[in-house]
Amino acid sequence: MGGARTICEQPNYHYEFGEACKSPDILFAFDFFRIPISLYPERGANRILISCSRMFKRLYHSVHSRPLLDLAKPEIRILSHALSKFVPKYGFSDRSIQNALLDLGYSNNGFVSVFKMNGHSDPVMSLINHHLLSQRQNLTLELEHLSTLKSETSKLKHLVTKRLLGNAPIIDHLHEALSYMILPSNMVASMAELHNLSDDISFYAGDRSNDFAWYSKRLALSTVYVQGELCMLKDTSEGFAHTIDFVTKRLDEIESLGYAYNSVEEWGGFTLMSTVNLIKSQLVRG
Amino acid sequence: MIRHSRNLIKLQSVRYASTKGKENSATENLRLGYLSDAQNAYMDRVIRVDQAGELGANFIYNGQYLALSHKRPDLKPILKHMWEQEIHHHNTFNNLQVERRVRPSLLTPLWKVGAMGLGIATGLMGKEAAMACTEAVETVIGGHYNQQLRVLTNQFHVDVVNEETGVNTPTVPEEIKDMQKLVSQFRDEELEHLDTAVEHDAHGARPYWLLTEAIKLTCRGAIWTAERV
Repeated sequence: MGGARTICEQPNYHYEFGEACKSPDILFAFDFFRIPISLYPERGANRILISCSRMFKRLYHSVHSRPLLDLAKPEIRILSHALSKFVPKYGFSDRSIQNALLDLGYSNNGFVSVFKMNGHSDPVMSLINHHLLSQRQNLTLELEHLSTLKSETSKLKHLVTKRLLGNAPIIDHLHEALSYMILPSNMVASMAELHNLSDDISFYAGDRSNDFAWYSKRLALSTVYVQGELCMLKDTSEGFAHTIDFVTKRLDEIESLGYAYNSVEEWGGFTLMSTVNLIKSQLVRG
Repeated sequence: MIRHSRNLIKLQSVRYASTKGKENSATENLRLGYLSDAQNAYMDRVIRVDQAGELGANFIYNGQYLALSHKRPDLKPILKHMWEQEIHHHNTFNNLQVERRVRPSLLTPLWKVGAMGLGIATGLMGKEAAMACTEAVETVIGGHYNQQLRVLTNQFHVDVVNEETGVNTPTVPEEIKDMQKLVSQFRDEELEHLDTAVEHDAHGARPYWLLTEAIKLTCRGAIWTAERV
């Protein structure tokens, strides 16, 4: 229990907001609806409000950004251990975490409270989220290879394929994780993480959109990724060749759709300008 | 204290060592902290709203140029000069938005249409109305940039921790200093546009008070919205 308490005392998400917001000018800066975080009780119905505000979490990436996973944190070490060693055997369950705790020499009394941090309601969701985060972090290993690829679509294909293949070691338990993620209480966190994934992939692929395309690209990418994951559940082909083929085709379709949209927009702009010029010239003639 | 030591990274620059007046060997013990969540959130807002604002300015001048270039060719170089500066501002914030991975405003299409409409409408009302529009917009933008500068100057200290002595030195990170320079440069240019507009009979617009106050109110509303959505 002693070990557990020291972990609990470490600052979590809400605590850090409280700390950072002493200065009056940015007291509400993080908050969509300008409700101070101190008005949110941490439990009860207002949990939903907290989850909603997390959906709008700001994305500014400083030059020195925090690493996604900080292995100095004990809970992260425990989850990594559970993920690599016990999840392939026991699935995403309390049992995997308890085994990891015992394996690393912690007491497994009260372990639930340890993993209630980071805003997740239960240990299993923490474990699933850890899988998602570590797979997302692994994408940064591909950056060197990405620089050899030319087009944005080929980079996207490479990244999406790599990310899907990251599910291979736990493929037997992927359906558990997915069904757990879409529970109403976990939905917001899962969607936020899915958005983070598509945002990362778009950024690494060199997306430079500044307007509404920013949203449509990420939405399309998230859709393709989820379709790919669902396809993977039933895929028995060697090295998930069927899934990769499917995802590649879907990404090609999106590219041609984007091309069609841009062409129509260009044509529309040209027609508008020429109409205005025609009217102008007629007016000048009187 | 726990929080700081956990979130620290190696400091690359030797410059901090000289500010501390220590030997070079001390450099290795200096670590620069991360921006806090609230600071990140504020930067996110700054980039989104400024990008949307410069997009709007770009389109307002575009609309005015379209409406006025034919009727008043003498105004062309003035409008062109201001418009080009706005394009530069807009591109700068576009790049920042991509590199710092900030979500652009969801209402971007609305800003485009609204700003273009405002530009064309005031342009059609005549030279004075167009200049009054510029005056109103640049007044609000100048104040808005000033407010951002105040926060960027007062609230963006990050601790540099000397691990040996445990002494924290609050420092403003380089990226924030760059942002301060950028915002103050852009503010000066926007206020230049304000002066230009007043020199070109902005006060001659009728109804001057109604027009400028209505545009100011619209701009403030747009800023409030673009910060959030």
